[in-house]
Amino acid sequence: MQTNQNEVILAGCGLCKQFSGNPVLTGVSIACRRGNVLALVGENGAGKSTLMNILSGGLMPDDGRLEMDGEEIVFSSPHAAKARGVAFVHQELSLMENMTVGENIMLGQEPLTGRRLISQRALHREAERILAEIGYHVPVERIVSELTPAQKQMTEIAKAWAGKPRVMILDEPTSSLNKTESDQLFRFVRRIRDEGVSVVLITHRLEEIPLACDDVMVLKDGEMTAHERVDRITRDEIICRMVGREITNTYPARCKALSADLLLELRDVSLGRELSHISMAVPRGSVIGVGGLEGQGQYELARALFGIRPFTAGEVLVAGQPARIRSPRSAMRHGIAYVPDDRKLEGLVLPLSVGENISMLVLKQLCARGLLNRRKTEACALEGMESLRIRAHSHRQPVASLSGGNQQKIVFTKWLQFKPKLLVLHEPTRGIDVQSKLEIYELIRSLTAQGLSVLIFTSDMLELIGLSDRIYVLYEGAVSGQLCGEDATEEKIMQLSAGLGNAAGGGEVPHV
Amino acid sequence: MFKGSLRKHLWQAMPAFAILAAMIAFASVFSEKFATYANIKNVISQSSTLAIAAIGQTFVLLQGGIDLSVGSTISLSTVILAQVSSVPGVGIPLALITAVLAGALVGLINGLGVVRFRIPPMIITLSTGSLVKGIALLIQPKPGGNISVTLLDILTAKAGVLNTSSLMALALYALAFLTLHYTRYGRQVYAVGNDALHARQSGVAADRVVVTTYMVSGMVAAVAGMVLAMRVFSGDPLIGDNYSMDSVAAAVVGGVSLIGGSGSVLGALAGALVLGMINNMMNMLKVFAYYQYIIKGAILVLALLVFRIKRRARTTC
Repeated sequence: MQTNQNEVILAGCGLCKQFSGNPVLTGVSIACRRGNVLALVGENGAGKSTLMNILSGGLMPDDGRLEMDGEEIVFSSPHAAKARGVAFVHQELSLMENMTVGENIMLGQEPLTGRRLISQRALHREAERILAEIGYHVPVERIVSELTPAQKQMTEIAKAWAGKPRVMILDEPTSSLNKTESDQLFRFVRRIRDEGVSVVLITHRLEEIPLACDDVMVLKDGEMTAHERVDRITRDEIICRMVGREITNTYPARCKALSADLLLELRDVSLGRELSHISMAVPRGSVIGVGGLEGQGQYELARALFGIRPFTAGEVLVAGQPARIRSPRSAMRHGIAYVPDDRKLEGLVLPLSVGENISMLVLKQLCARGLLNRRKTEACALEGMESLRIRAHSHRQPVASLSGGNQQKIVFTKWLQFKPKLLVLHEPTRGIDVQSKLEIYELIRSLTAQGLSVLIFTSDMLELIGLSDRIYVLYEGAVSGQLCGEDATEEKIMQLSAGLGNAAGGGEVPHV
Repeated sequence: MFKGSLRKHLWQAMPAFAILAAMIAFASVFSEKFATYANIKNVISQSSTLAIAAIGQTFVLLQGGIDLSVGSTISLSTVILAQVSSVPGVGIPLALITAVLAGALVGLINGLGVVRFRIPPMIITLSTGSLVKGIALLIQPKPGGNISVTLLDILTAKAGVLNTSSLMALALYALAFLTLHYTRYGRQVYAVGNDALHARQSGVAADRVVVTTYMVSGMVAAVAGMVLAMRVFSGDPLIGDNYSMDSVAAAVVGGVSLIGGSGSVLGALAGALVLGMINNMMNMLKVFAYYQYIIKGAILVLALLVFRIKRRARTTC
């Protein structure tokens, strides 16, 4: 095993890449070794995706070369790389929504019968076998559009694994997975490592690194700033190499006492079969967290609060007054803002500019005599960019060209222009870099200090515990328990998430 | 019985079959003439052209395009048959081959326009449609021409209520069904319609798939033109005009998604029969021709509404 460990399957030497004059990768070398798991970390925009795209045939390097098994190689396309055994599981899932899980996994390698027709039976049996190897059960005949994000992620991984890759690159595979599912995935990663596969794992969750990885490589601004064995580097050191400064306290201090003045109260609200009898209270100036496993009704609850699919029963009170929230417009009239989990699809208009996105909700104020006033619009955009430290060349830049962290800050800015009273955040830091994460945490606190209330739905356990003044845990569409921010622990939350409400001991905390 | 996504695709075709059944029941009750042998034969033979054209349209729709040149290709095909088929000796095979090749060529131009020059399908196929119509008019400005009687005898030979044309339609449907649902090519057509970029990354030659669907559509339209020429026993440079939109309507009523990637060609068959039934019923009820357009349009809008509502119910619940 020791001798195998050093065998390099795929290597990139001195890779450089520029996009329209901006260097995104300068002289980075990387080696994917047999039977080794390499963690690749760095802020968004540090060049991780670019590096991985070069390794997997999605991009051509401007300078430097690739070697496979010691020989120079050029990948003309992702498919060419795949054919040589390099599989890249993207964060943007590439599944065919109208096909079944099995058909997706086996796409391009469908088993044929003697008459060259596809054998659907053999296909689904084979797909089932591949999923079993990963150790995660997804019904193979289910249509993909009906899957949960976690199931889609696992299907995506199975699809890559079906090609029997020698190098497997996973881009933030755990961002849509809960703890159990992540553990399952890491077990799979360790097993294929022992079988000799080389794995590269891109992640923003640093606590995951020791669970599955052998080496860590840190990128910052297109350069490698660290490459160490996992046991020789601490989490703080990694963060330090990523952002170039020491971060001592990740989460800002929480506010001590919850106000008795409730901004939002839910009394026994239900939504079809998905949500049943949920009661919650959001005091003014507090951060209320909602946790639980993936798909326990968080999505439905967040969207019902914003009127996208309204509650079917129960009472919603805003500032003590009964409120009928039947649509996003009516939610906004009550001062509710919603930062959705899928910023690219729902939070932003990607082809439009930074400025156009920021000013989207306040166009009325920016008008003079029925026409948009350019000076006012620009002022609004610049002020928004300034206040949240959005890193963009200009407010005319299309948001599609920005990194995830900056995009998310634009969604925040857009809603803050509108001066909401309640901010409903759905996975606000999913897939964004550490620096932006911290800035968003600080922003949330400074907003609550100004009297705004925040309701945050997150699957990031540390974020949930670190930010929330009170935590509600959802299980199968109902509240399985609530915890005070101070005494919340991962274990207690996990127990509530698994529906073991009473065993958690957290039980019912009386309403404030 | 059916495994995998085929079940979903067929399920999407179910409303069309239900509408068809309801229409048959309605017509049988309200008109004595409907359930007669002669009329059923008539409906089937009238629907054959559209049913065949809808096959090609389905291929194109499934990969995410649309083919609005189908109608002109049908017209051209009737004209070629009228001009060439009665040439003594080689006339019949020459006419058939020329027509199919012409259809394939139109499809090739459409396909290359879409993948090479990135012209939106609707624009390029409307343009080639106009071009082909012009050519058909140049070849034969007026309805008429000579269609080989031998060919007529072959294509109108009867087997019960079915004639050669409708048997041909059925055979084409069987072939299309097998191709789309049980071959790798078919799987690729659906994959491209779902997400062309990711299909490409999965190793699908997406451009080739797109071009071939347009070629299939062109060739199938040529066959539809032959069937139509037999039925009216002449070539007509404008006769196919309605089939561009009607073939889209047949497919969509049959549950084929307008944005690609889902639906089954069997749905298109049901859709074509529904449209044929509407025509037939209105003729039997002696509805004035202009009203027929209005009623047909209204029924289509209604059918599409039913689909929208159904789909919305599925996505939100």
